[in-house]
Amino acid sequence: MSEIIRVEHLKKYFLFKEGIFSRRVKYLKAVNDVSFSINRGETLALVGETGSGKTTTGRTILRLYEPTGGKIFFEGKEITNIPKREFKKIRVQMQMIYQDPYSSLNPRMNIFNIIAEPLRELKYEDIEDRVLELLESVGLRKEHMFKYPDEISGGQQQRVAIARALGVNPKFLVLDEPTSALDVSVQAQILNLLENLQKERGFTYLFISHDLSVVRYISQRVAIMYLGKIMEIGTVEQVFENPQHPYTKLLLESVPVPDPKDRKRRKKLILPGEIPSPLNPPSGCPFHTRCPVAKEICREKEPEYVEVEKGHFVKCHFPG
Amino acid sequence: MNVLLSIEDLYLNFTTFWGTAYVLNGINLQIYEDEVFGLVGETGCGKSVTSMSILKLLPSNAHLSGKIIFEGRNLLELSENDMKKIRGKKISMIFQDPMSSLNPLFKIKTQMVDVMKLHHNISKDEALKMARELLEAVKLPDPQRVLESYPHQLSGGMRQRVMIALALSFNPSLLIADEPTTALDVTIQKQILELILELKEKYHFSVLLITHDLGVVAETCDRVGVMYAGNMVEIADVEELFENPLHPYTQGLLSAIPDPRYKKPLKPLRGNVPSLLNPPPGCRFHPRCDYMKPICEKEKPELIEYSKNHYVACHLYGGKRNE
Repeated sequence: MSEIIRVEHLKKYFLFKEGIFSRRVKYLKAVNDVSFSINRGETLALVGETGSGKTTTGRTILRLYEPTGGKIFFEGKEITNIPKREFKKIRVQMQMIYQDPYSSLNPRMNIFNIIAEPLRELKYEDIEDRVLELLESVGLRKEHMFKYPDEISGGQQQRVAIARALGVNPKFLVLDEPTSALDVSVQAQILNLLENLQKERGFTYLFISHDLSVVRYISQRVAIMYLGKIMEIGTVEQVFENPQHPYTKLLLESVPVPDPKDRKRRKKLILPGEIPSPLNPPSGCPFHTRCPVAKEICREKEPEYVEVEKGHFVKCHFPG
Repeated sequence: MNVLLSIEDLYLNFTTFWGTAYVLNGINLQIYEDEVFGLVGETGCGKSVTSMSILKLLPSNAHLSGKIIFEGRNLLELSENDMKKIRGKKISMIFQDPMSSLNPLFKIKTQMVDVMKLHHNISKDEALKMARELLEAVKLPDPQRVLESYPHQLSGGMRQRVMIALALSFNPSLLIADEPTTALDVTIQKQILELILELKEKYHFSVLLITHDLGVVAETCDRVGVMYAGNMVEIADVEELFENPLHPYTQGLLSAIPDPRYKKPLKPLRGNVPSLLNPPPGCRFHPRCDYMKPICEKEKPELIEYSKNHYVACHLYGGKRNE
C-alpha cells in the first residue's frame, strides 16, 4: 500500500489581538502538532467536537490556510512551501467537499455550467459528454442539467458538488461533514455513493465528521482530535472496540445507539464539562480538566504517543 | 395511565403565494402522564409544526382544524387570553437554538427575573432567589456567574440549561423539546438528555421530544410516533418500534441509519420527501414505497391499532379503522 498523504507535526496558529487597541497578541492553536498519513484508497476519519481543529486540519492540508509549521507531503513530494504556481498543478488532484452544498454552488449558474467550469478552466475536450458522464456517475439524470441549485434538493446539490469535484480526476478528497446537513435517508444515499466511487476509482478520503456512527460506517482508520491534537489514532476496529484514551471512551459512550434494548445495558457515563477555549488551553495534557483518571503528572507534562498495538497510537499517560 | 394531551384529526394548511400547503393531514396522537413521547421524521414532515399547533404559535396564514384536548379542554377553542395561561405555565417549550430564544442585550438575571415577576407576582429579591435555585436544579456550576452573564458569554450547552430552567419555573405538566440537542456536540447532548430525564423523574412532567435522530429516540423515549409528509404513519412503544417496525417508511428509516457499534450495510430510501404544496394522492408515501398496491394511490390509510398499543397507517395492514 502506498502512501498518498503524509502530514508531519502540522501546526496552524491564528493570531488574535487581545483588545481592539492592544498590541499584545494571542495565538489560537487550532492545529497543534498533528501527524498522520493516509494510504491510497483508504478513508481516514478525523473526529472531534466543535473547536477541536478537525476542519482546520483538512483546510491546511489543501493549503487553503498556510500552515504555521510542520510538513505536508503529497505522493512523497513535499508541498508545504512550494510556490503557488507550482502547487496549482498538484492542487487539482486534491478536492474538497463541504458541509452545506447550497453555499458551495454558485446560485446563478445552472448545473451544467457548475460542473463544466473547472473542465473549461483546465482545457478539457468534449466537455458536454464529460458532464453527462459525471452526472450519471453521481446518480443524476440529463434533465437536471439545466436546473439551478435552488431547484433541486439538498441531497442532489451534494451530488452536484461531488460531480464537480470528480471532473478533474482527483486522487485525494477532503470531505468536510458532507452529510451532516442532510436527512438520514438521503445521508445513506450519499454515503453509499462515496463508498462506491472509492471502490471504482481508488479515491483516498479524509473524512471530517463529528458523527461517530457515520465514521464507523465509512472509514477504515480514525483519528480522534481534541483541542488541536490527535489523542488516539488507529483502525476503526481498534478505536471503536478497544478504545484506550479516556476521552475516546467517554466520547463513544455519548453516541446515541439506535437500539432501545441497549439503553439498560449501558453504563450511564457522562463526560463532564465542556471543551475548554483553544485560546487558553490547559497545561500538560489538554484533556486533564475533564478526565476521570487524571493525576498530578497530567497537569504538568504533555503525554507522548504510545503504540498500544500495531498502528494504534494513544496520547495518554495512563492508557487502557 | 392517564391521557394528558390528545390530538384528534388535526389538519393544518398554510395559504401561501404558491398555493395551499397541506402541512398536517389528520394527525392523531395521545401523550400520557409521566412519559417521554418522541416524534420523529425528516425535514418537512410536520413534527415541529405539530408542537407549534399545540401552543397555537402559528402565523396568521395557518388554518387549523381538529381537536387538541388538554386537561379536558379543547385548546383550539380557547381565546388568546386563556392560551396565555397555558403557554409557559402548563405547557412549556424549549427550542433547538437557545441563542435565539434569549435576548442578547440583557443579562440572564434580568431575563429570568422579568419572567418570574410577570407570572408569579413576586418581588425582585424573591424572583432572584428562585432563579438561582432553578439554575442549581439544572446543574449549572456557579449559578451566580451565569446570572451575571450575557447569553453570548455562555456556551450552547449552558444556554440550553438556562432555557430548561426557565421552562420548568412554573412546574409545567408538559415540556415540548423541539430538537433540543441538535446544535450541540454529542458529549453535551448526552448531558442535556440525561438532565431532562432526571428532572422529569423529579418533577413528574411529560416530555414531547421532537427529533430527527433515531439514536436519541432509542435512548430517551418511552413511546414514539413516526411522521411522514404531514401524516402520522406509526406509533408504538420504543422497543416494539425498533424491533418490529410495521410501516415501510419506518423500516426504511431504520435500515438507512448507521450504527456506532458495528458496520452494517445501509439501505437508503429512494427518492425525496414530496412537496406539501402538491402532495401525492392517497398514501403520501406511495411513490417511494416498495410494497405499493393500487389502493395506495387512491385512498389515504387510517391509523389503526394493528397489535396492542402498536398503531400503523398503511394499506398492507388493512388500513381501515376497526370500530
